[in-house]
Amino acid sequence: MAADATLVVQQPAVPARIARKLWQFRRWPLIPMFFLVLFVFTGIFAPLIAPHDPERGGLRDRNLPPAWEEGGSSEFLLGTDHLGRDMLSRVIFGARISLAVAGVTLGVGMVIGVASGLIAGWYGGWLDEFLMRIVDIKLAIPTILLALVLVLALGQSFLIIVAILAIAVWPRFARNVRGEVLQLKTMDFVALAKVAGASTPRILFIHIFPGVINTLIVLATLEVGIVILLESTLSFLGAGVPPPTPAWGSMVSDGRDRLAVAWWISTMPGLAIMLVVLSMNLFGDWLRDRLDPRLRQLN
Amino acid sequence: MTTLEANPVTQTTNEVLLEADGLKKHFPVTKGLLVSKVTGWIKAVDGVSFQVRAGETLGIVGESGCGKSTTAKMLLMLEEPTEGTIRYQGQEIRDANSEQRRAYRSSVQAVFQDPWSSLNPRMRVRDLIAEPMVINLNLSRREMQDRVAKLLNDVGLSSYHANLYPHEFSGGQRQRLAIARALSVEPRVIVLDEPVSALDVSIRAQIMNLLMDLQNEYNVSYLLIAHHLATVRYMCDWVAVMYLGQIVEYGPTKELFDNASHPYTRALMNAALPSHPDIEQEEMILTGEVPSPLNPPEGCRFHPRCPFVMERCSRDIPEVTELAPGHIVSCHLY
Amino acid sequence: MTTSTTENTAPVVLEVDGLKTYFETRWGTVKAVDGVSFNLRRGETLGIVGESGSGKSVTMLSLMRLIPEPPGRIVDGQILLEGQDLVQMNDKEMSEIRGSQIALIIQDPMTSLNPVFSIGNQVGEAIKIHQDIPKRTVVQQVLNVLRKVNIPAAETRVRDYPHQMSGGMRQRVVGAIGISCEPIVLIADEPTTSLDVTIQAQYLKLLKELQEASNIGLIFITHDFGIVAKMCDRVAVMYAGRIVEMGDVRDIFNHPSHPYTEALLASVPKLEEDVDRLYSIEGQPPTLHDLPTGCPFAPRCQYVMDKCLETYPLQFDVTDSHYAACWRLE
Repeated sequence: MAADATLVVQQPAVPARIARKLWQFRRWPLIPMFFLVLFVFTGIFAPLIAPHDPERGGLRDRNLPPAWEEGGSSEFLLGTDHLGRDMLSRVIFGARISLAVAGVTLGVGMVIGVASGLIAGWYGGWLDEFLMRIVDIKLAIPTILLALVLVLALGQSFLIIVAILAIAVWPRFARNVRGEVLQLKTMDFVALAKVAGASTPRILFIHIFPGVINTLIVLATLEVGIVILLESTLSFLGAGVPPPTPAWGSMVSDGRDRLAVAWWISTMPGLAIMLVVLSMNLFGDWLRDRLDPRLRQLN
Repeated sequence: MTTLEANPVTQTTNEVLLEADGLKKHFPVTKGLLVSKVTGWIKAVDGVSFQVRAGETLGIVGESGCGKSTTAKMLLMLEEPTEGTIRYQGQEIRDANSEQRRAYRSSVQAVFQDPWSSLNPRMRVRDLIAEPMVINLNLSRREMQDRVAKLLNDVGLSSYHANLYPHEFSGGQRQRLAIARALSVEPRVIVLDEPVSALDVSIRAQIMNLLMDLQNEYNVSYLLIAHHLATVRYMCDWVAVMYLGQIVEYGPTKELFDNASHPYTRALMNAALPSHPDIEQEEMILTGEVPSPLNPPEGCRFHPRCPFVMERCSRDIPEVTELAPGHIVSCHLY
Repeated sequence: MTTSTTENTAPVVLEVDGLKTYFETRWGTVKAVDGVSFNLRRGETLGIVGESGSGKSVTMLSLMRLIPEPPGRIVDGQILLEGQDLVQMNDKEMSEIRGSQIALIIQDPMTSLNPVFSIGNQVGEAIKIHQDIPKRTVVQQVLNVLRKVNIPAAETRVRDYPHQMSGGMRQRVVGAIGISCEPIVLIADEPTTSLDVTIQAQYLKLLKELQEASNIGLIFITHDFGIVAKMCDRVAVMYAGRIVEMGDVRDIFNHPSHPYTEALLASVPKLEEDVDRLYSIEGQPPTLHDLPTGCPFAPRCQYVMDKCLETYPLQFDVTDSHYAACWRLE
């Protein structure tokens, strides 16, 4: 009977494995990943990279076009805005704001979402009803409207923006995690953990939570784009991180009236938003296909 | 099978380890969204009594919906009985303090049908097998490792498998892992819920033989839940036949298979597939299907499908009759 | 011992010759079916027995031309249904034949019925596709077919949806769709695995009656020798994509000539007698993308010889109607 022990996990030879590893990269979203790395890198090291102070400008250098346009200067690669501030530096520091807002928001939103999703899914009953109705209510209110009202009521600050955006993202995490938990808790290994005497926290953290991590990662990448877009929208509407901090959204808004004379003031931050969000979504799609074992089988 | 023929008497002298007495599980059927109202009860298990003796195997057979899996869940403390008692070594579980409950948990383990769902895909084999020990025993890392290695050997795998993940194993090997895990806390009883029916035919005998070898080695008792009669005949010392939440016939395996008495047991045997084309089967195909446990028939629950139905069957609940030592049946024919 | 009780001289309706169905995967070519040949006579029941990975299900899908393409492809062989080669047909020709001349009953009655259509609708659909008959007659036909599969009160049940029926009843509806166009060949793929024992018995009896009534050629795809013993006239045992033994059912049960067949039969517990200890086959079925050279059963075989590890065995006749692919018979 022990013959069964000769395990049939065939491992291919080493060179073949390396070749296969390299071959896998052909499906990697290299261009989106490049932009994302660039985004994170510039965000973190903004003070080291930016050629100028993003908040100070000289009135003499107002509305200078990008370097490749007629009248542009190599000192201001992407031109300057209506106050003579360097666009490149502002876009670079804008990345920092977006990165910070997205990071903190997702962190907070994810923790709240995961906790409520785990509880709702595991315990069910009235607790589940209660939490999911809150989620429903939240998903029924337009986020921008809620944000504007809250900013008007509470004032404008980084913390409040983060709080508002966290409120915007947690329900989606909660709902997805709950769905996964509902499915996972019917698995036999959960019943067997109970049979072995495992406590509820042990089951939740050792058996259930690892099962939702993939979903979380994928959801987070897709939510980053939404958060950045929301944050930009709020800044654009004047309800975002207060000026003079260079947020992409408020920069687009700044250039709105001058589109005819100085198109680059709106376009540069606009392009940055588009590139980051698009890259994030492409990357998230790819990640979902990769982490979902059902889809992984296909290619 | 010489062992069986030789000692139906010694069998009954084995100590009773686990005992169910009048076990019932009724699930409420509710209606209404916000304020739910109970509109009925599904009587999944409705008064079931049996004994699991030390070192022996009790089989519970029946079709889907007969309550055999719910019974198993109650013994595993996954479901709370609505009524009735479970006694382990004479101690009633409902009254047990937390220390005794803990002891019960590590004394009664389980192996389930689906080896793909019963092992957490994100845990390494060594953590999977060690989990019951981590929870219930106070062992050092070293002792734990040694024990995992020994268990892997005992179930026909090798110690180097401890570092792999479940998806690297075939179905039969996974079932071996599940068995090793169940054995890790040296339980006295293992509930086997259809342990081979999800496996390839050529693997089933391996696992059945393994289970029987381990029974001797670990002196463990089995409660085997199955729908396949031949499997039950091969593995069990005692058999209980369930229909619609109740045991209709119960007895030592050989006696029960040779003198099947309840019409339902006989119908099951006739419906089972033959092992050779020349075996002539009595034509006794039941008509209709199992009624809903929501509204079980009055009187004998089997009477709407019974070929020998009499007038009183729809009226009176049949008494339990002992046909031979240990062989009981509840039917008006006897 | 006994050869088949009645020598079957009915005309051959299905002839499969050298069928090869391969799948291109990232692990290389998987030869799921690798040279399978058999024939089926009118009114005969053939059992194709095998475990997972034996190729029995891919054989079934190939016969129906339902191989997902890509990754799969029928690379060689013929499937002659009353002389027409199904392999050479285009999709349109095939869809006319599929369901009307060669039909399939699948394992899972839950997924093979569409939950949003009434059963009358679904049975009628099958009839309408293949037969050009007026609407009124379709309704009549549906009722006839449902009565044939013993669905009580067919007149009222035609309006039921699948979820309103029990598993056994649903399986009957699937059966009804299978026979609705009076096919020449009916393939039943594990049709009873999800059914309870007593319901299974009813269903098998029904299938047998249907077959006898309209003289269909029936192919049972199964892993269960019990079904073979009860239902089949002839058996093909498959292992790793090939037929390793084929013969009349009694020959196979009385004189299993391939060690795999012999071991499988010995490893099944019997209801009728006490067995002290079952024979257990070592190891597990091979993975198809990495088959050993020689006989794929050799690593598990108790009679293995040097030759087995080198060359795939030829087919050797045991009797006129019984052969096995094993070097021991040389």
